[in-house]
Amino acid sequence: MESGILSSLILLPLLGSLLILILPRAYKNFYKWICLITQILLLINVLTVLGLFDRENPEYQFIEHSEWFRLSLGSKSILSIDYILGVDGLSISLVVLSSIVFLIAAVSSFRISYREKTYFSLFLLLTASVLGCFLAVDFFLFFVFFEFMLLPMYFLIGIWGGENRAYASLKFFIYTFSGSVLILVVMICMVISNQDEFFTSEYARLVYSFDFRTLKDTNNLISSSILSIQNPVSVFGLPAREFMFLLLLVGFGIKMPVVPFHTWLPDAHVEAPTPVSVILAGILLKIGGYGILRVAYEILPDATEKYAVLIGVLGLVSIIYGALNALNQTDLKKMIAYSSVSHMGFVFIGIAAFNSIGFNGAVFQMFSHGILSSMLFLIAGVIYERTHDRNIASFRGLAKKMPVYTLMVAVAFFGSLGLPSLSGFIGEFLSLHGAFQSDLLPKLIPALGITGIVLSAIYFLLTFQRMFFGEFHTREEYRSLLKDLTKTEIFMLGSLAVLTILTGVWPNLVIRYINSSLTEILK
Amino acid sequence: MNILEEIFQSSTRILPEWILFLGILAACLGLAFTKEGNKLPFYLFALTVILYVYSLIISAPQVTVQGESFYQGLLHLDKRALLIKQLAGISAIIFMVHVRLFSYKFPGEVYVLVLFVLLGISFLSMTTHFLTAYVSLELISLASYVLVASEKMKKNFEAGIKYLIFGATASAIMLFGISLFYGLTHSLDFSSAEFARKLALNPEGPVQIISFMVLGGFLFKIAAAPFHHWVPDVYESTSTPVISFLSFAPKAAGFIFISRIVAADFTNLNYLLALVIALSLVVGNFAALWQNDFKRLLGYSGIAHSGFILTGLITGNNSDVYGTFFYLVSYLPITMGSFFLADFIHKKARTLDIPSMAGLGKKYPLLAFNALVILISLVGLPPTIGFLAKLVVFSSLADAASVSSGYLLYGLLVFGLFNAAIALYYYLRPAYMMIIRDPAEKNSSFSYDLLITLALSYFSFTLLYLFLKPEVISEWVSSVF
Repeated sequence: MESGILSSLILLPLLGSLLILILPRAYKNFYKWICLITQILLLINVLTVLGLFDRENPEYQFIEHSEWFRLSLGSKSILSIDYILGVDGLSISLVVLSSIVFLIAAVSSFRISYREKTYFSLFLLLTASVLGCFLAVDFFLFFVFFEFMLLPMYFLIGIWGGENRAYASLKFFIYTFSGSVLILVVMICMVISNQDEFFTSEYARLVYSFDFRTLKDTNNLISSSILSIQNPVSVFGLPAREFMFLLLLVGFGIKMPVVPFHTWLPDAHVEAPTPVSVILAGILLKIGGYGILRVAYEILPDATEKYAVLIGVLGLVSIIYGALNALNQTDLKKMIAYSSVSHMGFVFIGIAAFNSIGFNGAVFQMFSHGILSSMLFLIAGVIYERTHDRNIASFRGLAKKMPVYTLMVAVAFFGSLGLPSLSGFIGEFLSLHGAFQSDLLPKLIPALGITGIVLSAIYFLLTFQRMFFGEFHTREEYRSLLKDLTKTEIFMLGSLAVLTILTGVWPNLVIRYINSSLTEILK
Repeated sequence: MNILEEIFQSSTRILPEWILFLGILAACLGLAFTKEGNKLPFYLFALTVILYVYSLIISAPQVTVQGESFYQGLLHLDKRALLIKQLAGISAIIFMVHVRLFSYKFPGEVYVLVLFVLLGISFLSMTTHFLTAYVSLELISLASYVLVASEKMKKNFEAGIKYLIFGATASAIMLFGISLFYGLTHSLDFSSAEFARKLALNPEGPVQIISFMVLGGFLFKIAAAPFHHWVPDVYESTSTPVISFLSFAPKAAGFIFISRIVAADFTNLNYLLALVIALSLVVGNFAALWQNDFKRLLGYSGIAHSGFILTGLITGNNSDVYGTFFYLVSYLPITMGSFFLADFIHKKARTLDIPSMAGLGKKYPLLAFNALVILISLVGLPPTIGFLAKLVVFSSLADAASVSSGYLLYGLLVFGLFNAAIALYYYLRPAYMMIIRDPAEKNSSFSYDLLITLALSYFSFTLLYLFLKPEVISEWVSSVF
């Protein structure tokens, strides 16, 4: 059954983008509405998919498959590149997350009042490529969307960013592009190691397929190829499969980001405008984790499990290093950016466990971090838009002046520091629980990971205390500017807060969708 | 069949070259009998090129994949040669359009010289014989030396002299190599069985060195490091349509000749090529990082692209030199589009200095969009054909590496792709200046050129369209193998 509903998720924003491009500038007030309506329609489509989604079925669903092109590599071999979309439990959770976060970011973009046409068309382009990335079942398609999303992101940071935006956007672009180059190397090597048996016999030429389902089936491995299991080839002293995995780890690790490849993140976040920060933290970072699970683990499970300790240690270092850095920041947005690094570390620890609990924890953590970090960046945006100051020390006793804001901040902060009944706790708990149960990881890694939770409690509580408790005190010129949340802001933060509480109280809401696919991946 | 008869017989088969030759004669006569500034040479040029391309299309069905030899093996016409000739013809047409749209007032000699280059390319593309190769390479070179210096400014002379000296040296070395080959094999046709048989009697090392000497002349033509020193000056000072043509057509001919040497397979050139590729990538990409002149930057990018195109020549079990041809075809709209873009920017901003392009995109959004598409296809980002071209050459490189399992080739794979990441920085700078930066001063002059904008948009449309429908290239190129 090909309903085309997944294609609509990519086409809708593209059409919206096109519509904005062709509407003359006289209608510039409509751009944001077009963007918002597109996002609402998208969310409706995504919820439709979610409603029809069969939770027990671990395979890809709603598959749309059509031939894109065949590219011969000479007279003996063909690259077969198809347009294949599908969702399984892993991707649907992230598709839903993206759709929610994009909707919130679209609302938050209403403040943009400079080159609106470019902004909203880029915004919708970004939406299309992110969704395409999560929906792609063909490696080529995945990679194209993965790489294409850098371009709108670069301009979104570069044009609408803060003072140092040129540096930050270029750094972001070059870092992530270098990462994607590594992924490209792996893609090429993987593809030329696997043949599509059916088409190979049909065309009487070697057919290389980019289909994830073909690539992960070890029966398709060509025995003389570099990724062959029977005849291991060594590259720079390492078995080729492990070498490829390490390239992927770095490639997706940059995106994630994991220490030591994280340095682009604080810069990009600090300079990016609020909605772009929200997207960056809420969705784009998740592609790193998604890639590790989808590409690295599904296709190279043996090599990935071999490096469980490395993944765990990287996660651990990210947790602690990120937390220590966050502890020391005076800039609210930078503090949040480093807390992102720290929280994404739990995703790595969950993955490193290589058991069902750990994987569920990792994906849940991605989902919850998507919601929470969006909230956090919106919170930083609220203060910044009012006063153009993000210094933690500039504010004191905000609770008296802005009670609703304080409530939202409390939910986001306590959610992030892992208070039970909020979503952050579930993700961290499951990840660490999985890691403790894992045979592949020394118990020391999750044990030390717990200190990350303690550290995050310290910096979040300290910040909360400094900014919100005590007598109201700030610079004279800010006093009149610091008003409580507007209705839109309450809507944005409120809906995210509800989600945090909902998934925190009832984690099964997410887990029942992802569990069967993740268990299948583990087999 | 006696020799005279064969010569006549062969002569009937090279109609496209006859057309070029007669066109050159007519244009020379036209030059001699008209005043300076007369448009007759241009029209004769246009007529000749169009007839040339037409005759290529007409003669296409008769050409076979294996090809046939004329003039006792001096020429060898096969589908690959035809492909290169068609590409060169197309690039001459683009040259023509470029000249017309920007209303260049070249002296008539320029058109005659371009026809000479085209004639040289035509012969070079269909030979496996060192003698023809040398003569036609010199025909291309001599005409291009003059073309480079034809604007008669100081910097043109500097570039022309540099080009001439390096070119002459490269030719001399090549000739020396050819003479050594002749001494070893008593044959100048490297595709013949005798050549390979006699060469096999010699140790591998010297043969490789001689091959490198011979390749040098062609590596010079395709602007690969370490034979690249002429590139930046020549690219910067030569007038844009001319260098646009020279940046593609002679290169294409150089590549097909190198691919023939590789395909003749008398010695394993993989490692030698890997070295040249790595050098070209390093030199091209790193030197380009510090360029402020857009055309100079394109010069260095041309060096790097030569490295990428050569990558397709490293072959393994399941791939052949197909990658090079695929890349070449997609390189045509990329490079000529980028020079078209350069001229357009020059027209709007009065300079090619990258920092002074600031804010251009705000005034001309369509220009900025087209520039972005062309620049990202130079980088090799999706969704442009540049990405697929890189994918194809690196897939065949990976295949070669998995066969011979050489670290060197794996290293080259990773290194080559990493160079794309370095390239990102300098290619993005013009886009950054145009789109992100605000203009330094309020310059209110606004001019609108519908035709040029359309032509530029056509280039970027091609780049995007070919990404979605690469079968167009794929089928065209597959048919020559």
